[in-house]
Amino acid sequence: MSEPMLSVRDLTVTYHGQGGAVPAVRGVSFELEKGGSLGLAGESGCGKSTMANSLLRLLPAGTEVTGEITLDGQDVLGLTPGGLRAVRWTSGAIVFQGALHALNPVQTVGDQIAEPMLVHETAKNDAAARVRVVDLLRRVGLPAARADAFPHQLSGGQRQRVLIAMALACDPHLLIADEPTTALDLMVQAQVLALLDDLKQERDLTLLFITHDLSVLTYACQRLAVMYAGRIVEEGPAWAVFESPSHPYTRALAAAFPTIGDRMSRMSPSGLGGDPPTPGQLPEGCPFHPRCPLAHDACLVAEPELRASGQGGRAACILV
Amino acid sequence: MSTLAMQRRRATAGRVWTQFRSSRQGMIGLGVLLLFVLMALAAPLLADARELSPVFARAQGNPQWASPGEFSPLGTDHIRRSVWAQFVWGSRVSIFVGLAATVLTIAIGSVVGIVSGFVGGRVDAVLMRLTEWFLVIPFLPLAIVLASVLGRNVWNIIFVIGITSWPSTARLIRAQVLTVKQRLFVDRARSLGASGGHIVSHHILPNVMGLILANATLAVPISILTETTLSFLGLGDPSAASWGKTLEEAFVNGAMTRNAWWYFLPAGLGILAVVLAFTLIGRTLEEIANPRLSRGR
Repeated sequence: MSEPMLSVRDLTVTYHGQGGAVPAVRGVSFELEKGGSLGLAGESGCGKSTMANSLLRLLPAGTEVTGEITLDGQDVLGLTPGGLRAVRWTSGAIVFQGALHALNPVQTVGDQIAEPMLVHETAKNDAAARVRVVDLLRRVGLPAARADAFPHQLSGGQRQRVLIAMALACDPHLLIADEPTTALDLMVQAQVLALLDDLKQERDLTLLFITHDLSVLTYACQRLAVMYAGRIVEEGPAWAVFESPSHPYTRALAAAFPTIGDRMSRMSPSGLGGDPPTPGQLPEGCPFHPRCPLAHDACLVAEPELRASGQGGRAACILV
Repeated sequence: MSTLAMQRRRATAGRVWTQFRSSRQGMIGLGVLLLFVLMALAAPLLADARELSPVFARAQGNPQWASPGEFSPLGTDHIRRSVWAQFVWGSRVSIFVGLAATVLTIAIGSVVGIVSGFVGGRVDAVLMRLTEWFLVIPFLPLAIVLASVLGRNVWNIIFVIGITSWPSTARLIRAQVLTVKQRLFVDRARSLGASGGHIVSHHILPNVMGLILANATLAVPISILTETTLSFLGLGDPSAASWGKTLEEAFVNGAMTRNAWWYFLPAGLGILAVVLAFTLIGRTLEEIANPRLSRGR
């Protein structure tokens, strides 16, 4: 695995709003090898979705993106509009969050699944597209007759499956799943995760999985990266990050999940007080220090860089 | 176009028709409209066009101000013409002008609204200032000036109605395009590599189609009534017998005070029935175009 499927170098994303520049992503670097899977975790507002959208340049016009994104051997930030349209969905496809809103209410789901094939002309005509739609629906566990249904006639889990089918329509190499299980109940969540896992094995997909739910990530991904205030603060093999986190933030995030059957975790739920900092007004030094239970004077001075933290991971904390 | 696409299009049309047939209001509207359209098409069979000429009427020896009892089927007017002939031939002008002016209104309004809403920025600003410019011009004076400058014929009436009534449609559609544009499925379409044209034709247009149809159903009656107004003010085509012109002549010649109800009632009820029929059909089509409005799944 010489050439990584996705490589991100020093990515920064800055929104320019009325209140001035808002750095949403501040210097993120990672590599994702072919067939690998990376989970991206973090609280709301820490830059996860911004980063995901920057990978296919889907951010609103006027957003400043610097750094280097290489997807499938192509420099995403340097592409022309036409080249960019060609890369979208064939190299990397997105499974959106909020399945109801990502579907057009006045088109049947079959037509919408066929849409990327017709846009990219991977299906010669409507008939070929139709055959493929039925194939894809079966693959994600929906009956072929559902192709003629409208989005409002499907349940939340079914809609999410439709979005997965749509993401697979052009055989992408990289699948970006942006909170695909957020609005679903636990049983359906498990089904969708199992489906993604199966598809990944079957098609040798590379998976970038974004969610705030650490337990979902440890199930679905080999490696895990935790973001805080626009940076990766800890990164490593999924089990290591979840079982023995090095960064205090990851520790708090992992501890926030109650263990079923454990009376202690039910009686005294642990979590993290406060809110993540506003991207426009980051605190001096380590951005996590105002909420960190282990913070001391040195944390106020400089923002720590990622460094090796044992068990094949890296963490950005001076205590590591 | 492939045969399969044709088939699918036919299937869609079939589905719309099945849904339409199950709606009572839609079928009533369609029935009434068909009746009037048939009447307009069959006008030469139903009444002699020469009956519209007072010279011919006098030569025929028609009585003046005859009630339906005295001269069948609908009596005569102040210059001995058959009211039935005016009603039948008037339906042609009124329905044609109403439809043609609506097509023009909706076409201009939709194009301006969609381009303005979707492209945004400077294009939006320029188009909206233009729209406002048309919107603030008082309708009647402009219509009167245009009608008298251009000359009084049916095509000019259609042009006048179209050019004066598109701005409200354009603003309405622009507003809807702006909300649809923000929806996630438009981002999704963009992220799967769709171009602007594809997004407009596959996502924006189908989602504003219900509104365009609803607006068209409102525009047909308004166009018919505007034609009536212009004719009533004496700006209509003098050679075309429209329902509005009948109303004007009935009014000017004192049909009301004479209690000559047969002179103005047919034209008035005709306008009412056609306007109502279009509204009923439009509402039904809107329900079909927007699956979430329709009852039952």
